[in-house]
Amino acid sequence: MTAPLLSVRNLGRKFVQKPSAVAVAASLLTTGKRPVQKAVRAVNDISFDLGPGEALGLVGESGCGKSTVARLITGLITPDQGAITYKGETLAAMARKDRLKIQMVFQDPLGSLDPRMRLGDQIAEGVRVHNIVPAAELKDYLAGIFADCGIDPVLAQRYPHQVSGGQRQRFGIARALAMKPDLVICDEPVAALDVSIQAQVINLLARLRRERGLSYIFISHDLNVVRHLCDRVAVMYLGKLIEIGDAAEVLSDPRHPYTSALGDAAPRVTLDAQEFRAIKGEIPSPLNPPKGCFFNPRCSLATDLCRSEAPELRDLGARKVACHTPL
Amino acid sequence: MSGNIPVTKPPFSQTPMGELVSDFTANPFAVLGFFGLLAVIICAIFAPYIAPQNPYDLMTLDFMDGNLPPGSTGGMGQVFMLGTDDQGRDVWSSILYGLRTSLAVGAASAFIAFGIGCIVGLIAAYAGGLTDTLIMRLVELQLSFPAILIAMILVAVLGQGTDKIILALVAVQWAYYARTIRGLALVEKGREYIEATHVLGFSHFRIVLRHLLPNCIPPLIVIVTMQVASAIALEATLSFLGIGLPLTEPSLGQQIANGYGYMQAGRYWLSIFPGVALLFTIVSLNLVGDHLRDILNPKTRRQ
Repeated sequence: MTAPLLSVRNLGRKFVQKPSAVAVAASLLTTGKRPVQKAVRAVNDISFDLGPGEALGLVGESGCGKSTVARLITGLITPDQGAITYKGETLAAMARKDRLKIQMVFQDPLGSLDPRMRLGDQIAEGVRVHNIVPAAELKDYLAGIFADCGIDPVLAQRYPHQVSGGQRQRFGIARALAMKPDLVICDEPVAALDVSIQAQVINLLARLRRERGLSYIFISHDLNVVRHLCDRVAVMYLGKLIEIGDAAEVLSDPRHPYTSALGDAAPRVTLDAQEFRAIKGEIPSPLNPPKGCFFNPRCSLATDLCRSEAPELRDLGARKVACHTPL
Repeated sequence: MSGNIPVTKPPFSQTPMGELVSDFTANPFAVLGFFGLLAVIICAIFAPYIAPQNPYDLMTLDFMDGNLPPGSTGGMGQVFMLGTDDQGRDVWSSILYGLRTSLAVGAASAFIAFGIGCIVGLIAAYAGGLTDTLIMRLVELQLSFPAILIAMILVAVLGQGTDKIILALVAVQWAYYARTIRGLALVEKGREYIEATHVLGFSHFRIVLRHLLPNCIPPLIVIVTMQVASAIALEATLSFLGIGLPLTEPSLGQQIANGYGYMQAGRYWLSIFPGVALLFTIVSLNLVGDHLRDILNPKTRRQ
């Protein structure tokens, strides 16, 4: 692989639930000790590389830390462990101007667009503020962006609540695209849309990537979408990366029991009546993760080793898997 | 894709402002309040043209017209609709001029307090942490004292004068705005569109002024109307207590206070009519504010 565009090394972020002053006082009075701070390791020791023009799918159940990874890479939150380097530079040390090359498309287009600003102004604002194009060319530039994203320019005069969900998400994509990014983080960009609209938006994202050579980190829990759009896929479970490799390979022939279970749980179109196989058990509380491999309470292949020692991410052919008993 | 969408701007009724107007006019009381308020404002602005006499130009007063009940005819053949005081001053004219002072003082102090409160509240919400804690403790300290007490102390220290009264009212009211806008801004700050502005690399200044503030303003319009009303009432109270505006700029409160002494003597019109004018103004403001609050609250807003 050529030099990676984005390189994530041992990334970690925990969220601490600070006890209230009253709880601290109560605990001090009754036991004489400060209460134990509860911490959630939302992202735990994650490493991966992303090449230029590559699309990486990030999949996993709700609450497994996918969105936290997205927010770490866009700089919305800071990591407390590890580092992210973009084109060889540490993200934390980069100037804001260079960070603009990493843009984000949010899950909820209604929530992520300013409700009191006309859509067109929102797309133009970033371009204007950062002088992405000379002021004289702004109008033509925006017209080009709208055309690329399949947006009727008339809608630019409207407010977010006055256009349909699919159109809104096109504006969300246009806003990111107008900043001339190299890397776009898509945080479940179609999860809030109707199925009929989802395909349109996904095809739009695929076309934009082709035409502009964009890199994507595509967060989703829809494995079919990831298979369609991504070169590689990374599977997360409870803040950890458990399997990463070529998208088609990983999804059609999973080696980690969890990836396999995820694939089984995804609905498929077949003529036969099919049994829906849900992954047994609930996702464990991230406040109190199980000992050993985090997946062991739900895994049919779990051994004593799985219950005592957490597996490392190891090379297994062309991919990496964190499992003591890979399939 | 969307060829059937006409190439025009959305009609006024579809803009946020247009929706607001149509929702507002749906309630007759709100419309009533609005026109009442409009009438009061017009009376206040055009007082010199509407009032039959200038009550503060002694040349126009005639002692012979003193203490006339409402509806009397004066020595020059003029009709005193609401009667006169002991110096022959037309009560109706006094009310018009008094409205002027009351409204100006109320509106000026509410808007200055609004400005200060907005800045302080936004800083507290956006900065968070220690800044937030310090500012909000100060606000709570301020709010824990009765408004009238703070105003009285300030007037006692600063002395009388229109500017000092406005200062006292601002000092009393800024904390309400600061607390309200902080709460609103905290909610908005957590929304995704503010996150999006961070990803777009905007300055804090731009994020707060262009994105955070506009989204906090609508509920604040309500607070402003309510606070104008309470500023007017507070000013009237101070004037009634004799520590309000100077005698050269009599407000409604002062007129009520002046007439109060004559109530026992049966000259009810000196106090009652300015009181009714004050009541009318405050009720109008509250009707407008109340209904604005209802239609701006998504939960009570009709769809």
